[in-house]
Amino acid sequence: MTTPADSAASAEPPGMPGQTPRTIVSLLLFIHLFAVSLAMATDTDSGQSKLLRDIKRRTPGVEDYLAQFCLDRGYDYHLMNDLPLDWEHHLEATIYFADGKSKMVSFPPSGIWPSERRQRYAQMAWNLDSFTMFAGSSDPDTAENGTRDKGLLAGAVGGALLRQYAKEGASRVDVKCVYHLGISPTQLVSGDLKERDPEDAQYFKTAANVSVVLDERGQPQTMDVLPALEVSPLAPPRGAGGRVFAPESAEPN
Amino acid sequence: MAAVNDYFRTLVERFGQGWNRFWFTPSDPLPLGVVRVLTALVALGVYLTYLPDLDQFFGPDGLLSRDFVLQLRGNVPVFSMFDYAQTSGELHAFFWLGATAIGLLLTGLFTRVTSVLALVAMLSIVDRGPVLARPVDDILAMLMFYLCLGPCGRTLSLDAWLRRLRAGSREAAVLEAAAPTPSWGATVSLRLMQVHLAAIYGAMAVAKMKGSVWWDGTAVWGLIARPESRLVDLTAMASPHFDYLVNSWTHSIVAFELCFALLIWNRLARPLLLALALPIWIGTALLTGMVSFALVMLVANLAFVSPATFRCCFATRSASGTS
Repeated sequence: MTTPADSAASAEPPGMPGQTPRTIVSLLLFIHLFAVSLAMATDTDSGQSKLLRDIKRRTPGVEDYLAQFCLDRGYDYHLMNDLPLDWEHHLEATIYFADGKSKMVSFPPSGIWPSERRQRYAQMAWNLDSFTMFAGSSDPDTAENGTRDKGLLAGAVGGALLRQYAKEGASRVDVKCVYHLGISPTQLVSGDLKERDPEDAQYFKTAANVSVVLDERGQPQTMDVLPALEVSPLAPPRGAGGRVFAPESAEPN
Repeated sequence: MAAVNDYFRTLVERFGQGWNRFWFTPSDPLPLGVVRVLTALVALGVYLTYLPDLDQFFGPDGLLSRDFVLQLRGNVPVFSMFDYAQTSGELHAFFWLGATAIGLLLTGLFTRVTSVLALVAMLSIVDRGPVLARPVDDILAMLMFYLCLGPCGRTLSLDAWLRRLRAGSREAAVLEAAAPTPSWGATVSLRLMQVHLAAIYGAMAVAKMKGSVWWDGTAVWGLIARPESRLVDLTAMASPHFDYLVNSWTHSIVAFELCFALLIWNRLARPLLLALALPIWIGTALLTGMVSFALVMLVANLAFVSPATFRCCFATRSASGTS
């Protein structure tokens, strides 16, 4: 039985679309909100459940739709969680020439303006660190993708520099991703001059170091650069894909 | 059993009525016009900052070659007009075409078409260099996508001015251009922005709550300690005298984001949250240097401002302009 209150509630305001367009638009809204919710639940730093990941992968068109419109995002901008990825990143590319000389190029370049430009270069460096982290993941799929993407990005940057400096005889580029660890309030008021200097070498950590050369087809080939170890192991530790990885603690910084 | 049936029938009916009211009640397109102008302004600024590095990133010998991007994308088919640029000249030509589209969206000329073209331009540059994408790009893409769905050029646009000009002395058309009739398309577009934005605030709050520094109140110090990003040097706050300030600043960011996600739907809380957004985002811009991100978040917040408030603001401005 319909009450007067129900009738009043169901009364449509003027200008509302008819039943058919409303149904079509509602269906599209459901699909869109479903896709966006899936993206937000699966694209976070905290990982993703197998259920949601498979729903996203297997629902036809969802991944393509999200990717095309830049909607495949978790929006989990935490800004700062005191993790290596939360600090400022930059790339230091050392170009080695055939005559034995070398030159270092930094990304972002110093004094770059406006800050939008600096942020883009820093984001590129951040992504190299991020891919390096994924490469060390315990999940085989994540590790494989991380290893591939790390090689691709380092190869792209190194390969581009080798082509840009080809006339000068560039033969190899070492692409190093460095992050600048923030100083703590205690360190800032420390009596030790080195400790209270935020620009001291102890606050710069190497996240990845990749050597890039061009093969005979002009395609970049990458290989991880190992830090010098105090005692050489009998067999070097090997990571995913047969590449050699150095533990963070073994970094020379 | 009958009571259970009645409950579910009522639930479905009420949900349907609420859904229709929420998504399809026609509304004044003025807020959409304001969001269009400001979004296009931020988008144009962000887009133009690619120009000095266009060749360094995407040129024939650029850091992010086309082959690299295609391999990085894998099997996901993503369209970017910059994929078709083989030379530096073509790259710059495509770039200026994109800038023109965003400029036309800003002025509101042929908005139905230019809103789509501006979105294509923005997505193209972001997808050409996915490893350069930052939060501002995500929010811009979201807003520009929803602007395409509604009549965002109905107000504050050259389209509206041209309509008025063509109408001449026809009173109805002049009135329509001055105070456009409510549109359900504007409601759908604005509601999508609102729902998406509330979810983004929720995701941001949850992400922060997973980190210990947001609980022990030192996250803001972490941001202060990043020398290259910050806009102002606040390291003087290392002194224990400022501990409470750093802690309360940290907690207020999380509390604001959490409250925004949940309470923005409450009419009474809405003006307060929108007002609080201003100091929160200015503070975040100073700490992180992410000025465009802070700006675009403030612009997105305007999707929650009522048309009456905008009309009131414009009326006050025009009154003070004529007096």
